[in-house]
Amino acid sequence: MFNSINEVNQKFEEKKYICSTEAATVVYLSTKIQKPLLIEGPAGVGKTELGKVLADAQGYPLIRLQCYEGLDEAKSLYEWEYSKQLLYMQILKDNLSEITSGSKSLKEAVEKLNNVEDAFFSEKFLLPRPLLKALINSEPTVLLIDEVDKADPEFEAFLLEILSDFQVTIPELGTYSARNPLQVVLTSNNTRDISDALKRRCLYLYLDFPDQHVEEKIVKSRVPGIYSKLTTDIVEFVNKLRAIDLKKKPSISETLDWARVLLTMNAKSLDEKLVNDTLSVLLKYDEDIKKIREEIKKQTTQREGISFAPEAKKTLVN
Amino acid sequence: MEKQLIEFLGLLRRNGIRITISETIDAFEILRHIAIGEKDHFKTALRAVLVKDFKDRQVFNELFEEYFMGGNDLLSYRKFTLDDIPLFALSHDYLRKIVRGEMREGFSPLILFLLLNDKTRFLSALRDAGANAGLERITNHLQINFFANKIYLMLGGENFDSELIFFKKLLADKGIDEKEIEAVLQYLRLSTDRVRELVKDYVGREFKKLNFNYFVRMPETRLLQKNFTILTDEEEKKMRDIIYKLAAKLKNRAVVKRKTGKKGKLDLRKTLRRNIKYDGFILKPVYGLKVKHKPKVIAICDVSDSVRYVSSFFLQFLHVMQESFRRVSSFIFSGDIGEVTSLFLRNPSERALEKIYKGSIINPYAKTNYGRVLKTFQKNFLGRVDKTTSVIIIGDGRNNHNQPEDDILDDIRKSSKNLVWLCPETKWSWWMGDSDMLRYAPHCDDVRIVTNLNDLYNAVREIVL
Repeated sequence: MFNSINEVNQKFEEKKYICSTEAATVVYLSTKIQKPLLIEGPAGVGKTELGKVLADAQGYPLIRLQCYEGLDEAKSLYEWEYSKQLLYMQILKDNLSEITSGSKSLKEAVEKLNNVEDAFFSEKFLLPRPLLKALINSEPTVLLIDEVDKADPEFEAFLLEILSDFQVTIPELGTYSARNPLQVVLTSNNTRDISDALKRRCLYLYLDFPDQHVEEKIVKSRVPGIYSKLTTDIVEFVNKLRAIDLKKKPSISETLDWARVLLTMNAKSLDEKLVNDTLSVLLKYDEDIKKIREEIKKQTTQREGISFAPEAKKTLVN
Repeated sequence: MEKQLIEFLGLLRRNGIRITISETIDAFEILRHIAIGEKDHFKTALRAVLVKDFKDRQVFNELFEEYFMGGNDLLSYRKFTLDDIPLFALSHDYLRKIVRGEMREGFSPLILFLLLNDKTRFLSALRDAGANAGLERITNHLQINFFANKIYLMLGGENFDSELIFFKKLLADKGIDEKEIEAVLQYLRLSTDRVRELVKDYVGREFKKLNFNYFVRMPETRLLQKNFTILTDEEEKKMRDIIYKLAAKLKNRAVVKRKTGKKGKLDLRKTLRRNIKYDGFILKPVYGLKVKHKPKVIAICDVSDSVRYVSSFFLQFLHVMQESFRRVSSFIFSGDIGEVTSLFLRNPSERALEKIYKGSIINPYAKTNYGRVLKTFQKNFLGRVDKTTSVIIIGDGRNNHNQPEDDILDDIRKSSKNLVWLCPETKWSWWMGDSDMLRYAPHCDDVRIVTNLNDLYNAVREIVL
């Protein structure tokens, strides 16, 4: 639990997650008023990471449910261990016949069996999946439901009970409520609209590409040992790329990858060759890479140097 | 604060942001955890609770500024106050003391504001007066002056003169010099114009706030219903996103229908296989799908000049449809017919359209010849039409007085599941010029007039679902 918005910021920073005030505020609130947190935004801005860090910063365990098309209750909530049940039934055959022995009619035998039915439909034979696991965990838990938009619309409806009341109902056993405080984080890439019913139950956070200085901070904290000028160059360049109409814009994780690559290449600042050689780390489509290479070429032939990095121009001239 | 928050929520609702009761409760809940003084925190917190759609963020931000911050700068630009008028023997503070002591109750907000310059109090009086005057009903900017005047009168403009006389007497009783009294009265009289301006400003802002939707958010719903012929360039750009969304919605619905629709007969083989792990006990029966409902569509779209203004939307729509449904084939025609299915699959929508209008498939600038097109279709492509195929023809039926060959439509209809004609022209124009719609219409299962995106979506939905 956090006591203030600043504390969120601080603790996240300790875990090397730099977040905006907005994100910190919303995270703080969601822990305070015990509401699930729905995070949307473009790919690679740290949505999933936020969930992980939230657990880490508080020292809580993280249970993660990755959503995909066709995900259903059996894989997300619980399943009966049929084989175990059958095995037990085989072993206990004698006991069972003992119980039913002496009954005069079939009806009576069924009645008698009915009384021991509980033994087979008990928690012993229940195989908890992530959602149930999170609910019955013996300590406060962070539940990360990742990419909820990838799951089918029905699955969303099924989540509603958990999200609003922190409980699930298993027909044979009754209702399970969360034993300890449960913090739920949902992420979505917005590939389809999430239903209003689900949104209503959550706090909403839209994570976008960060400001330049925030991104610099992120790079510095995640890629230790990088030159600060190179950091500025990298972030500036990436931000310029984001302004161009590309098939896939470079995300923060790609910026970090690039920074790591440049660091291992011992680069001190950007120049045209370096950018050309390593562009594929940043851009994932051939078309995009071609487009940017042409752009760089155009700009250098216009004797402007690489306008993305004015310092690099100086190094080239010198 | 509570009252203001409720009012603010009402304002958001009025501007099209969905806010449920549980969200209202949440909003109040967060007030306990957030210092209202911290403007940014308060704003982010409210937004997290209330705005669950990225699109609505801008509306929220602007309304928030307008509502919680707007009043302050409304009053801050009014620089000239009582302190700026020269008084001699009488001190400003003494004057204020008299006012505070003697006339708090009896006087109108207008005079009190001018004398004491208490902005917050005046602002709340302004809001109350606005509410009493029924300002929330304002819908037209021509009403601004009317409401401004009404509110001004309510604030104290109505009895201003008699109040001045009373005030004069009050000051005279205190033994204040007549010249000084006159100076104060003069200030009050001259200031009323400024207050009038202020009230008008307030009403103007309020009008903008209440009809925010209209200004800021070009609502999608309006675009959906707007006729293709009168779209502006900007709206056309926006249409692309909407078309994409509509098609995605269509796909979603098709998936849900397939999954939740009625199941068919027991599939014995699958059941046995599924239940092997239960030692042959049949615990989970498996049913076959009743109908494999995968829409098979052949769309034939006119791209000639007369329908240029709509065909680009149709083609965009077809392009997205092809992405979502695998069994959609697209054709274009004007003088001739050509298939664009693979062109659509290989190119993003913009480039595909560019190629089509450049004439890389057929010459789109040739004169439309429905007869020839139908004949060619019958000869080359009719084999691909089977009883599960829906054939959609999109065109205005303007045939340049060529042979209509409407009998061929019968053939198509007989070999297909259904034949639907989407026509961008309304029925009354079928009588005019070279339109052959009247001849074609009876041969189709259905003819739909499609003048906006909504029509298009509904028509296609009925065909594929």
